[in-house]
Amino acid sequence: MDIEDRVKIVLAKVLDNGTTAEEIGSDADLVEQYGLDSLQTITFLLAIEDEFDLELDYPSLQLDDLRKVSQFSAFVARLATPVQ
Amino acid sequence: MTIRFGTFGAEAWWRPDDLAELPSVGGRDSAVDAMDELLLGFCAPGDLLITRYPIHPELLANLGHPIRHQAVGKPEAGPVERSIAADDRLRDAVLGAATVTPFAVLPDTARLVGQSLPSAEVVAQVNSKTWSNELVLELGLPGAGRVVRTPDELVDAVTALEFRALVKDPYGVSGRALLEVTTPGVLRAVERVLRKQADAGRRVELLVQEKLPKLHDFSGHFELAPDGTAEFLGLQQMTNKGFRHLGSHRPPPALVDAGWYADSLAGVTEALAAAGYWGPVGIDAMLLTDGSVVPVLEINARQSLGLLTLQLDQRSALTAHLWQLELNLAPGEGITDVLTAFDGLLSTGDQPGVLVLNGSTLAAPGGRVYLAIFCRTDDLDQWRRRLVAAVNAAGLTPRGMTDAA
Repeated sequence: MDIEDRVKIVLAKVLDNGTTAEEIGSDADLVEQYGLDSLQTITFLLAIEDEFDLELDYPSLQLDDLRKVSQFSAFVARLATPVQ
Repeated sequence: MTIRFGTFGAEAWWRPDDLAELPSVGGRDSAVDAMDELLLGFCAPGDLLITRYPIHPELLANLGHPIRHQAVGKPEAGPVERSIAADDRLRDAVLGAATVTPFAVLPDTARLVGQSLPSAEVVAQVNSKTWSNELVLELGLPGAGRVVRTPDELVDAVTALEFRALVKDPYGVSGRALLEVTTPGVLRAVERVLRKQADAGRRVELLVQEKLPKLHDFSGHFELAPDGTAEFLGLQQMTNKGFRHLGSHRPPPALVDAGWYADSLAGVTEALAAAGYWGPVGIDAMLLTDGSVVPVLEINARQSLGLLTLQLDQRSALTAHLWQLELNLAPGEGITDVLTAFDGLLSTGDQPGVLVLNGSTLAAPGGRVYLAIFCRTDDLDQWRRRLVAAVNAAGLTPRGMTDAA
């Protein structure tokens, strides 16, 4: 399963409103389309850390450029790839 | 004459600066600064409402009775009380008023108003979840949690609950109030963020509660007199999205026996009075799936949206339902477009319909509008759908409505 699919599964769990991972589009905007609020956002990020075994630096996280599922998945892919 | 004003997000001003914070994203939400216009819903005829920003004239006109309104001349950063104190005319009006009713008593409120309010230190203390949890333990009420003061204690407490745990900040500032910790991985992330702050000298103080099987959230509302007498005002059943408050309304009588609930909180109101608090109190509670009640989840020793809904409810023969609508807005769109969308659906409570309670500063890319929907409870879903259809028809798109009404 690729990273974007795993991100969508995590997002569907956080939304907890009946939306399935399959229904979430790559270009879906987390705020405009799904109304992700600040509490859901932090829950989503903590679950992403758990899913991908990452460590996010919350104070420096700039989420405005990561609102689309595809953008966020690319960000996770960069963090999950070991530096060569 | 009664003067009303207030600072929403009061918890941020009660919270000690040296407390470590739960993981969070984003800075402070500036929309909170404009929420004081919701106090419009509390106003009786002739009241003077002072707000940080001007209120759209149509919101004032739609209220259904005349009130007086003033916006502060120069909004300053921080609580609105600072801006009022800096304005000679408004400060004199507050000092000369027969009754001053702030949303919450902050240090700035106490400095502005003086002796007729409880001390800000007492108000901050009794609004802390640490204080309310100690009271729950002392009174032997169900649902007590554990206050943890180190990252290791947090790990112990969450693990002991087998990851059915809610971790709460003692002051619950919006957006960073609580986290549900369901896996060891999430616990490790929370522990890491806290340990970093503890190592830098910040104090850890968090409440860990078991996540219980909830049927409904509700709140009980009281007015405590300076002599300690408590008047029970009523209950509100809350509508939540996850852990976020979306609105509230009068519960059906079968939900909870209001008289029993009020009586069971006698120890709580006595403790508030003994601590030196008087004024409005909202106590959040929970009805569990087995029919039992957790009577005190948190104490809000201030006005609240539940109290606002209760007061709106009392002005109408219909039931008042508070509801929030989050909208995406294009440049140039604002509250006028929302009011136009609701043309023909507006009400002051005299007939089924909607009263728009805020939104004067609403602008692109969007924001939240609070609405009071007056209708029979059975008709609420129909009214929500009608309102969403109205904003859609006007070209305004609601956010996150995949689970709408």
